Parts: sequence; structure tokens; C-alpha cells
Amino acid sequence: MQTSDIEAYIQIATILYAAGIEIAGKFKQMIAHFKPDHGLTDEQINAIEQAGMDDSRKRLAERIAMGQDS
Amino acid sequence: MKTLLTLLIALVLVTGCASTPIKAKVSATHQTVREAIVAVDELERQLCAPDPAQVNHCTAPSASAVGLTDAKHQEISRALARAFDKDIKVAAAIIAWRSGEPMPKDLPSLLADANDTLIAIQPLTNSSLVSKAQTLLSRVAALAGLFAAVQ
Repeated sequence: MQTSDIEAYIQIATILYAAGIEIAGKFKQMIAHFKPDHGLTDEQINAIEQAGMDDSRKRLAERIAMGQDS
Repeated sequence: MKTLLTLLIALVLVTGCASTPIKAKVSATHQTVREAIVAVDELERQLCAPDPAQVNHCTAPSASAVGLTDAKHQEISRALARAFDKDIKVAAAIIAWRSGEPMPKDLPSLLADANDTLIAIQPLTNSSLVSKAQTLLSRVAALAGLFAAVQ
């Protein structure tokens, strides 16, 4: 294989790589467009649920007291 | 070339998902349930104005006028306590939940507790409280329906 052939292959590979990146970017835009507007991570979801649980535990204790018969 | 393109597409699909959208939707729907329980809780407290020294006793002069006697306040409180208890368990289950898994096992109980809360509140003449109890029931039903849809 001659040097000019290698250079040609490198050029073609570079062009295909750039095209692949461009196509991937377009796919990502398409996916983002159809993705629901809930970009939370699992950690964020869990933190929200935990905060809710903490508040609910406090209210539960209060309601147990309120529910006692007179 | 085909392999490279396939790998690029796979990489985009994997890295494009910061979280599980379905789990985020489930959690968001559950938060509306929690907000509804809190809304009933807050309004009933406001209408009753429980005595800080004897919280099963209402002090608001207008309480009995809408049917919120001490006995009714205690009944509603017990229903809300059960609802909060189940909601805490549902929240813990949602934290552990993954798409495709069954719904939290306490969700049907929470639905029953929401119904009991509405039954306890319905005789009162305060339409806002009744409306909030109805909202609670519909939101729990919506959460159950969402789990059924994503399984």
C-alpha cells in the first residue's frame, strides 16, 4: 500500500467520523424533542421522595394524636 | 463504517438518558398525590383549629357549624393518618422501583384510605374540603392507572 493510499484512507475516515458525529448530534436533538420534560436524575427523584416522606412522618404523628378518642 | 455508525447511535441513546423518564413521571404523579393529602390535612386543621394542648379537640367557633365536631375531627384524623402511613410506604417503594416492576404493594391500600377520607369528609358542609378529598382520591387513582399503563 502506498503512502498516498494511506492518506486517502485517513481522509475518508476523518470525513466519515465527522459525518457520524453530525448524525449523532441530530439524533440527540430528535430524542430530546420527544423526551418528556422530566430531566431529573434518580438521585434527585429520590431526594424529593425522601423529603416528602420526612414531612409525611411528621404529619402522621400529629394525625395519630388528633385521632385519639375524647 | 456500519459498525462505527451503530456504535455512535448506541452511545447517543445511552448518554442521552440522564434518568429514567418513566420513573420521573411516576414520581411526579406521586408528588401530586402527596400534595393532595397535605391539602386536605392543612384545610381540616384550619377549619378545626385543634387545641395545642388537646389536639383531638377543635377550638374554631365555626367548626361545628360545618359539621366538624370533635368526633368527626378524630374520624378524619384517623383516615388521614392511614393515608399518610400508606403514602410513606408508597414513596419508599417508588424510590426502589424500576420500570417494568409491579406497582407498590401499598398503593391499593392508599386508594382505599383516600376513599375512606372522602367518606369521612363528605357529610361536612365545607365544599372546599370535600373537593380536596375528591381530588386526593382521583390523584391516587391516576397514580394506580399510570403504574398499570407502564407495566
